[in-house]
Amino acid sequence: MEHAAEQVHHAADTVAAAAAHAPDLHYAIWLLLFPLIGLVVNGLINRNWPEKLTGWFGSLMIIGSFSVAVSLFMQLLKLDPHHRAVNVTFFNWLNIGGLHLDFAFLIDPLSVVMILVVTGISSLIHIYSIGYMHGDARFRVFFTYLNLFVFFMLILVLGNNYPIMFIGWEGVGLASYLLIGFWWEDMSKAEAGMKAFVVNRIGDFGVLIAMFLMFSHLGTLTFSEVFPAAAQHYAHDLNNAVIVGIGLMLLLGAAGKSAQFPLYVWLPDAMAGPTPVSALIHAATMVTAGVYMIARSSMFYVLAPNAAWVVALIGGFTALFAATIGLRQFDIKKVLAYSTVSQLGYMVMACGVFAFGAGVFHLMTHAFFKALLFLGSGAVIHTMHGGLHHVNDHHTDPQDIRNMGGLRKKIPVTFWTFLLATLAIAGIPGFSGFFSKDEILAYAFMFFKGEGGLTILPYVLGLVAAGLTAFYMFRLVYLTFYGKYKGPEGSEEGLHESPAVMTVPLMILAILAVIGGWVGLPPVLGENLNKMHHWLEPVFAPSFEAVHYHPEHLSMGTEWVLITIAVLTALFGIGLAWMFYIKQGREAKPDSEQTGFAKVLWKKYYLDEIYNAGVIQPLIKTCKFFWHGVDEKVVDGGMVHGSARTVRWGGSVLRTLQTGVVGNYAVLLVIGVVAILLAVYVR
Amino acid sequence: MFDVATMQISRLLPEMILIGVALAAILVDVMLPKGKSTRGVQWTVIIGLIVVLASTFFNRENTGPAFGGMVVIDGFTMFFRLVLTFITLLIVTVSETYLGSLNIRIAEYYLLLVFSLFGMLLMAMAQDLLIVFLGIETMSVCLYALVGMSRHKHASNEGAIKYFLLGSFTTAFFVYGIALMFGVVGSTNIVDIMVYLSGVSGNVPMLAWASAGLILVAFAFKAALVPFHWWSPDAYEGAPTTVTAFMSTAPKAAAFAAFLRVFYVAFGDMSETWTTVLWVIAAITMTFGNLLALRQDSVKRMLAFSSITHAGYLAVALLTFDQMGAAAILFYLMIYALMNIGAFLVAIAVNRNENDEKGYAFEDYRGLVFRKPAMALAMLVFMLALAGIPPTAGFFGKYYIFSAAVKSGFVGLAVIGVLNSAVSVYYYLRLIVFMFLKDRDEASETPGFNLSGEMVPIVIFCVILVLLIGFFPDALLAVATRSVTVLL
Repeated sequence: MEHAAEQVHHAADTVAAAAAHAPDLHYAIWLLLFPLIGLVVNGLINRNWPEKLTGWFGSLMIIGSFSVAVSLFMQLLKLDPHHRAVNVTFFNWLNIGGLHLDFAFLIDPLSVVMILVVTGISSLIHIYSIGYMHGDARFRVFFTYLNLFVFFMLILVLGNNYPIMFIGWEGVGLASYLLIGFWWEDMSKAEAGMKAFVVNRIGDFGVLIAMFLMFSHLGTLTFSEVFPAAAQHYAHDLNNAVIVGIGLMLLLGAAGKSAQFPLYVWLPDAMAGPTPVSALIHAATMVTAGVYMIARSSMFYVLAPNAAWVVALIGGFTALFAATIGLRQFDIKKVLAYSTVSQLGYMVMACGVFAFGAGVFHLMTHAFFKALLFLGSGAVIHTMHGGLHHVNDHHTDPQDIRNMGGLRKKIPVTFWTFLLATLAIAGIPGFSGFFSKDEILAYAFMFFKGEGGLTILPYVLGLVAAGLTAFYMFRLVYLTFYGKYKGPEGSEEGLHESPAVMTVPLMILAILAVIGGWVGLPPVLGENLNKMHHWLEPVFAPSFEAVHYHPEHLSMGTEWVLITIAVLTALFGIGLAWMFYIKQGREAKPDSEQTGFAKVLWKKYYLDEIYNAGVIQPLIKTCKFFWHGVDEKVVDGGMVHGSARTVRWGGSVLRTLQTGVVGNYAVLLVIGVVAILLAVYVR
Repeated sequence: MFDVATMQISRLLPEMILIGVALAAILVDVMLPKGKSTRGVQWTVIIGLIVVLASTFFNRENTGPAFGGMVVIDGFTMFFRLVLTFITLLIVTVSETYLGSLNIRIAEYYLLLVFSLFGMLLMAMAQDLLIVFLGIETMSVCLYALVGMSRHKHASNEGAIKYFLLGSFTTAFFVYGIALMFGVVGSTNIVDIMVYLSGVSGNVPMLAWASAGLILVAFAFKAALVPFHWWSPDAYEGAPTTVTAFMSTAPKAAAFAAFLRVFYVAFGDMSETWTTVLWVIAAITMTFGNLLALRQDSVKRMLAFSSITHAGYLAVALLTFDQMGAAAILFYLMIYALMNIGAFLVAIAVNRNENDEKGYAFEDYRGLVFRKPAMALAMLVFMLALAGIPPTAGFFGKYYIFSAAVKSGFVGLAVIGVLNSAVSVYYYLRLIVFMFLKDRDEASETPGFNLSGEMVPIVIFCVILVLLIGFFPDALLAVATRSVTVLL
């Protein structure tokens, strides 16, 4: 206990020292003000600006935020690594019943990585949207919502306590919901947005309960206080029920936001929104909020290894499970959606094996290549639209890869950038995804080496999922860009490359997708080349110190073997895809010819149907029972035609009394009274 | 018997002013010509209520018991005086045009509101079970008449009759409960009861338990807690919508005020028994209201059923029997009034046909955001607040309630509560979805929105407060916390 207390003191000293040396970072508020200005101007002031002005104004605001983020990064670089956690307090926000909360930012290596990714990718996607949303009647509203999203996302990652994070958490949910439903015309389309929102509320419920538990057992919700407090009380009492509870409840929240099994169901449906939204919110930023939260709460997981083990299993299982569904999808965006779920599983799994840094690293590289893949798919859809429009075809699905093929020659920029992103996600050495995925797998193996037994599972799940990923991504590339064009006759002439506002962001992202991983080179290439790891280390070090956790070290030889296995697995997946779709020239079958296990995968294990039959229908039936059963039959039961409303005023007062409606009410009331008196009697 | 000095009548200055306002309003009604009289009455009442608020504020130091301990004026009373008068003021301000559209522009409407406010103030200050009774009855008789105000609509009459019959029925339980308590203690004074019960602690006579049980039933009825809520959907639906907005906020607040005073002070020593009963009541109230609200196609009914759910949340805080829980109740009552009244006002404005059975349909909200963006945004704020989503005040309301419950060890109930609030998002969100749907035929359907001039500032006011309290909740919570110190 003493030791833990010392550490708390040490941590407090560190914070104090950091405050003493810290530069004044209050200008960080401009991170929020820029999108807020964009939001207000485009939402309220802008009435009839031309499209270009609206779009560029919205984009410039985000670029403004990005430049602030870069500046903050520079400021942190100047500081000593152990003092790189600056609390920037703006005002005292809540001060009640022992709970003291400031409206404050925590600028530390983790939040800086997040704001760089969020503002950077957002800038590119805003610019891309100027081209993609061209001509849409609600262009202005779209940019307003986008700015709203960025605003809340930044609150989420910058807040220095859980409630502020939670405000951002709910805010991005709202913005995402508005953007998914951007093209709503009827209830059925709106359902997708509702599903996302309601499923997320189940996750939010977890976060709320976790906050209640923290407050009642640790007395604070501010990051810089709650983690030392947890270490002090529970460092010698690992797997205490309270901390395990907090860990699992936070995991529930993360599962909702980051689409982990079994709450992942909303993400594929969310692809109903415009493609830039899918890229920004449902691939690069918002969905990673859960991973961010788990990484931020690393202290709870090291103190509750059992909860962390659940995290690892859920993550690993999601990675594999979603990858298998991705094998058999035909909608280009659905493939990418399941791929996103799978990659998020990787990140969550990384946190579960205490590789928080590796998880955040993968979060970053994934943001690059997955945003690129989505924007690329958007460009493909854009092109297909052009082609179909050319022949006035409104029936063919422009998102179905069975209608594509051979697009390589038509849209070379899109093709090449898409290919680079695919190589990155497949884990080909040299590309960004390889480094982050390799680090996760290495940590998963280290975890096994330390614990033994079943703890090999995360590694195995991750490895198999990597092979599947390589396969389904190359299947997508081959069916879309290679072979013969399978669209309607004559539409080929209408296929054109997208405009520069769309292709330039693709190219920038392609560069990042290639080199983005070079900040985290593995130890086999040399000591201290993993800059990312060192950058994030001070964030997670206090957690590991609290329980004296030291991951097993791997020898150079083992590292090389692991890398070889991973690369061979990826190459095997790619090779298989090449053999099927290029060498044998297999074509994807139409819906009616789907059979066997392939059909099960295509139908996503029928989970939507099972959810519907097992959860949604019973709920509706319960409501019906309460509505029709209790309220109408019992309560209004005595009424003519069973409804109080059908009786005309004429004799209804008397009839209402004599036929016993009020009598029924009274009887129920008396039953209640008797029940209460009985309860008191037998107390 | 009493001389005037010991009665401390000056402590009841606001109530005396209130009665003066009612009498003045009657005179105004008689003196002004027929067509203009209701406007005159309305203004008299508005000004009168502002004077009541001001006199409460300037008289705030003058605290202590009055009428020989029958009532007590303390921080708790002050809080409810302000909140209840404030709610009544909002409702009075927005009623005139709406009543005109229903063809029930009569001065008695305002008088009934004022008198029911008087009854509620009695409930909040009562330190004697008989005064609680007096307050409840004064309030209820006015409410029965208010529910039946739309004389031409059978739903209104039916709601009033049901409310009246069941209300009278429950009154009998309450009186019986008081009688039993008098038999045990020899007094109906809340302080006497507390002293007696703490004197015999551990050995409370059976009759006292039974008495407390019957009194609980009466409060549960007025607060519309399941299984004593049966009257509320019919009464809420049948009543004119301004009355519904009033009934779902002010009488509920008054019921909880009396509930808190009686159960925390008088029966404080018996609290452990009540936790089980209240636990069950809270759990089924939250769930039942939600399940019914899920299925509604009328916004008015949806809000009516969801108000049962909100009463359930309040019951969760009630059973903590500590300061944090009590403060959470006061906080929630205040913000619930703001968001619920705001939502009802927008509903009145959007409603296409008041006298139609299909009035208040969700379908009316289709594409509202494109036709009336400001109104839709206001409704968005209210719905998010009712659903408890930050950064609205509704989030903190729920947050305080459930964290008080967790802190007192009711983790299970808090889980049920948070899950229920997750379910409730569905139907609040459904309305938002309709507002953001594209309109089927944008040009042809432009219904007569009758958001009258007097409603606009009130709606704006509610939106601003809901957001402001959402961003800075601690000022209100600090006031609430200070107000409940007298109970514990």
